[in-house]
Amino acid sequence: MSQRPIQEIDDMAARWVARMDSDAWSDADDAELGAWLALDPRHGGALVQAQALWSTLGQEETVEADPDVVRVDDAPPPVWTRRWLLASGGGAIAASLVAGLVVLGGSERYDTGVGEIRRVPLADGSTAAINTDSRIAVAVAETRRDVRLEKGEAWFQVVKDPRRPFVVEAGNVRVQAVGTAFSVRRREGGADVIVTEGVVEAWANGAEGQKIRIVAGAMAFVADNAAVRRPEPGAPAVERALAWRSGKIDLVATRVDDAIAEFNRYNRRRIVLRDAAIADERVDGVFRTDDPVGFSRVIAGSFGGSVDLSGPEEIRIESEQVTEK
Amino acid sequence: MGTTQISNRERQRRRAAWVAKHVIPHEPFVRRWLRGARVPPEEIDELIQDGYCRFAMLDAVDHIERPDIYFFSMVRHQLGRRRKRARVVPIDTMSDLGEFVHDEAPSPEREVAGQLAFGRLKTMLEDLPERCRRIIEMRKFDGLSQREIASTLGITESMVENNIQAGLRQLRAAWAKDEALASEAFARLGEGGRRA
Repeated sequence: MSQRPIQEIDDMAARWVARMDSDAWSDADDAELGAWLALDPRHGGALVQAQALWSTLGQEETVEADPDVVRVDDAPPPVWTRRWLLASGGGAIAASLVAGLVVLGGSERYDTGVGEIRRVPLADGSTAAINTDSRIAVAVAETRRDVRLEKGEAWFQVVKDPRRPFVVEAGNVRVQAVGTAFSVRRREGGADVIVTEGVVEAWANGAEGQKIRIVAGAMAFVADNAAVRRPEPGAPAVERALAWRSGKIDLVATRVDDAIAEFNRYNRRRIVLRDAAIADERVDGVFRTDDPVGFSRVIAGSFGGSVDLSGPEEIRIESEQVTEK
Repeated sequence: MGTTQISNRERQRRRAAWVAKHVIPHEPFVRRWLRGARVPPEEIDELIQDGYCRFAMLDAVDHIERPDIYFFSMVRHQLGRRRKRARVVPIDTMSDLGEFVHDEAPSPEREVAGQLAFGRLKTMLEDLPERCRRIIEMRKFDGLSQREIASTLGITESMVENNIQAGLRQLRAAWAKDEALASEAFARLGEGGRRA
């Protein structure tokens, strides 16, 4: 199936590495290298492998990352920035003055459409970041603050007020905070709770005796029947799970089908995987929630498929045999 | 990123540095897995090269946090694809060992892998012809440039380059055949103990 035997390509790659390593490297050499690389995709693979072996031998070159790459989100995904808090905090106070009268006694509802992420100030000065396709209802009263997460996911930065507990109701699951920041996401049969600051208590309605505490940097799934699942603790996982607040999806060794499901939360144009063989492969990367096409291309490029954009409703990831036409 | 044009050589060098750190140490491991799945040797070479090819093609690799898993995943996938094309029933061992590698090995494990790879390659140097080995050592460990090596040994620069090329080819072949590293890795992680 291959025109040139692999051995020959490997040998040429070794020649290039030795030449690149030499003191006499001209623009002409560089152009010739570019031309060779363009000739056959396998050339790039052979070259990077040979050269990587070469640099493994010299420790000096093995440290750096890929500096010609700009990571879109250079700062670590937000441990919610002070700046943002200040900016929105001002707004929150203003909004609470206006909204206060309306809110008394009643509840305020906020919706987001697919792909929309909204930040809203709540009447008590707290803020909510509401993820795609979600709905919350907020009722702030004298003695308590109640939020009902009717669907989807939201993150809350709660203003401290010991006299008025802040309780989020997500189906049968309850999460309570005093002054802290956390997110709640409704799932089939329960809710995910992720804490970014302080401590929350969570429980299933009717099982108040079995409250669990979740501390900053930790997450837990609380089932409607009060069962609790806690993954390994670790801040990176928490920050990753909340990357949506800056419009990102952050995947680490995530199954392809799970990653696609994640993208489809944010976009009306759905990604459809037509090659079941890819479903359980793993992907890594930080992607924009609004760029399902870019993500699909990475998947297709990594696992040898192609992307079909002909349908307005769907982005199809096809296996390569079907579409090469 | 359009600001300054970087040369092909520089681009290659950077990508290779990343691959050296994150992928090379795991190659013996993936090869070992392929051998376990009874893939013929020539096909293993093709699959591995194809795996490297994916890293060469990506515009950016910085965001890949688990290159070892990514690499393995691509190779395994490609194997499955070839098997399907060849209408051969997928092999059992695929899912079996697959999960093993997918285990979230802690990061110290991955750090160690890099050092082991370096040590292993150094040992392989000893099997090279005397002059070839000497030249590579001067270049890599003594930090001399090809030109400096040429004048020290009283040979031409192109002879130095040729020796490096030949040495690299041999190292690469040895690397592909190496059992020791993969066996160590399997032993360290507890082969069998973690199979599904």
